[in-house]
Amino acid sequence: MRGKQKTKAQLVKEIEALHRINQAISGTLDSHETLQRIVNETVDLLAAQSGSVILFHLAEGEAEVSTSYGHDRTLQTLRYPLAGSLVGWVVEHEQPLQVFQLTPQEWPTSWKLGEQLGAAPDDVSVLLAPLWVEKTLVGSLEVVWKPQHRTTEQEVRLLEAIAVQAAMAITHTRLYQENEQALRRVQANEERFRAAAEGGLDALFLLESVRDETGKIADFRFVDLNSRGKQMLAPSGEKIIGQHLCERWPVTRTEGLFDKYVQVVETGAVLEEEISFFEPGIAARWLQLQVVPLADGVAVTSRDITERKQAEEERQLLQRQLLQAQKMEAIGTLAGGIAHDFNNILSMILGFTELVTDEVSKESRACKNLDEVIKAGRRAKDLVQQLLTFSRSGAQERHVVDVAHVVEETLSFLRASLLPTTTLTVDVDSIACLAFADPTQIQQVVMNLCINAARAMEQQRGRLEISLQRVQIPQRLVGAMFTLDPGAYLKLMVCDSGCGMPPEVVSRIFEPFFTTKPMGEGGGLGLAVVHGIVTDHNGAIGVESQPGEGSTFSVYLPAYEGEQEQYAVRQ
Amino acid sequence: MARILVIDDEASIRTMLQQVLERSGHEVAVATQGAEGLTLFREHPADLIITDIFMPEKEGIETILELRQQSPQTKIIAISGGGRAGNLDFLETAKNLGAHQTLAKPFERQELLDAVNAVLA
Repeated sequence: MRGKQKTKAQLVKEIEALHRINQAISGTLDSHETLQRIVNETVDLLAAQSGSVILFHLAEGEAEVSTSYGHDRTLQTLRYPLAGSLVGWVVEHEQPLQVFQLTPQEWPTSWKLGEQLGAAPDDVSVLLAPLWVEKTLVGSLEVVWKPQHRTTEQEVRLLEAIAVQAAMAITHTRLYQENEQALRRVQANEERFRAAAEGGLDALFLLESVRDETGKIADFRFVDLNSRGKQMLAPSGEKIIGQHLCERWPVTRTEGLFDKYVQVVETGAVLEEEISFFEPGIAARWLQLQVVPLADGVAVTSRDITERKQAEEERQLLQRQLLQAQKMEAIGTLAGGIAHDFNNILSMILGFTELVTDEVSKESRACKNLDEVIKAGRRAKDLVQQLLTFSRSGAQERHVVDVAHVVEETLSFLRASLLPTTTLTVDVDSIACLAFADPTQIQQVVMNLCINAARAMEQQRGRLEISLQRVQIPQRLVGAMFTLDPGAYLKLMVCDSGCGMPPEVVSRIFEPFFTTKPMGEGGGLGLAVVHGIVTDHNGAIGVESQPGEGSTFSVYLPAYEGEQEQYAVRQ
Repeated sequence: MARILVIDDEASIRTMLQQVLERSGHEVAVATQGAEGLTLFREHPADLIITDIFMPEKEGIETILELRQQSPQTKIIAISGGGRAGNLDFLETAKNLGAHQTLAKPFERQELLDAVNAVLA
């Protein structure tokens, strides 16, 4: 070791300086402030005139004065080429550098530096120690004496020790800055994600698992949710975050949502599903769910697709109605065509039979037999007539009709034919039940529906309820079997407590020749005729039925809305 | 007793109507469709024409229209087994175009004779 032994006072001074440097490093994460204090302490400790921390930009081949003490302020942030400079030597040799006297030939850049320091260059001594950060040379700690000063080995070692501290400060600061940058990136990402989550159409909830003592998921806790989520779950603004899902909304467990979330956590598989969700007191909703697994929980994206689903259901219903209408139309056309041929054939049968009857004795068996042929022909004629009614081929006479009167008149005929075990209840609103209709056909509708109901109750005691009222349909009504435009209607209901019908029978009940009765007990035209008459009057007919519980037929006829006095009401 | 021309594309109907009317004492000629009926009518005018509506080539409605022009005083009974096509009631149309009576098939002998007597009265 060169130079004099340190005195105790010097040693104390050095230790105190190093302690202050350490404090500076641990006291702040501001690299500039820390390095400034290091430079200040170093200049004081080494009784130098000035000092700097010079950082290297190796890729650019430049040095930059980062922090300095004792220099002109203009030196701060000064950048100059490494090549030919003192620090360039440090970069090249990776060692401390002691220069007793600067010469312009050897160190042109530093010479200029010396000039800036306002000293004669040959009057300046410099000591430089490299700054290492994780085996990378990042800069140099420089001390300048003026007038020149012969540095001792101890001073070199001391500067090296301080350089290690300075490097540590740089490292800390860099780590801190990297951390800060990473944090800013994370924050920026989070802000972007939150903006995306807030801006979307979907409700988004983050749920974390709540496990019981056995480790099984017992519930989920809300960790975060976007504003749509708040809107969906807590429209009146109650607190959601921290709440337990099933505890707060037991329906999520009963409707199976909880189990689906658990499945996602346990399998790690994303779940995408459209579910119908029923909450007591609230109309059923359709939700499109995407459940994505998180570390120990799920992210749930939920979109309310109720309106879309309702529109889809309505479209399907209309499509079914259209198909049914087309089917009935086709059957009607076919029936009309067949009816024409049948009528011709029946004309021949009836005509020729009558001609033959003339040629046989009135008392003969042949004459009786021919009478039977004529009777059969007449029955066939009635049947074809019904078929024509269904296919809308019958002649009609329409005028303003008091439907209440027609219903009551029809019921007076019907009462006699009902079984004594059948109780008949009639609720007819006799005021304002006018329609522009063919009364004979309306009578046929009532009669056929009642006969049908009575037959459904033949085997048991039964209840036949008939009601007629004027109703207002405020908006388009899409029923299972028909669609009604808004307006005033007369609603005729025929309800029986009979055997009822399964859905496959209900769906075909208005088709001609469709019958559930044994062969020969009915032609299966009664309800087809009713359907034909009602639709021909621009009305609609529907039926609700449950096997064993009876059936209810509802007929809607457009109500006559003109002044009653304009037409003579025929009864 | 009247001279009656029956126009129908169904042979059996023609035969049946002819026999029924002849037994009632009328003189009956038959044609298989409208054009033939009109030709026959020009050659042998009749007091009454009973015509079907649905026939190939010249159908009943057209036949009635021409008959009305040719011989307004001739009585016409339109008969048909088919009622309507869509909202059009053919027998109603025939009546509006000048048929004096209409009969929907199948009709019985008495109905036919009543209609004939009514228009000839």
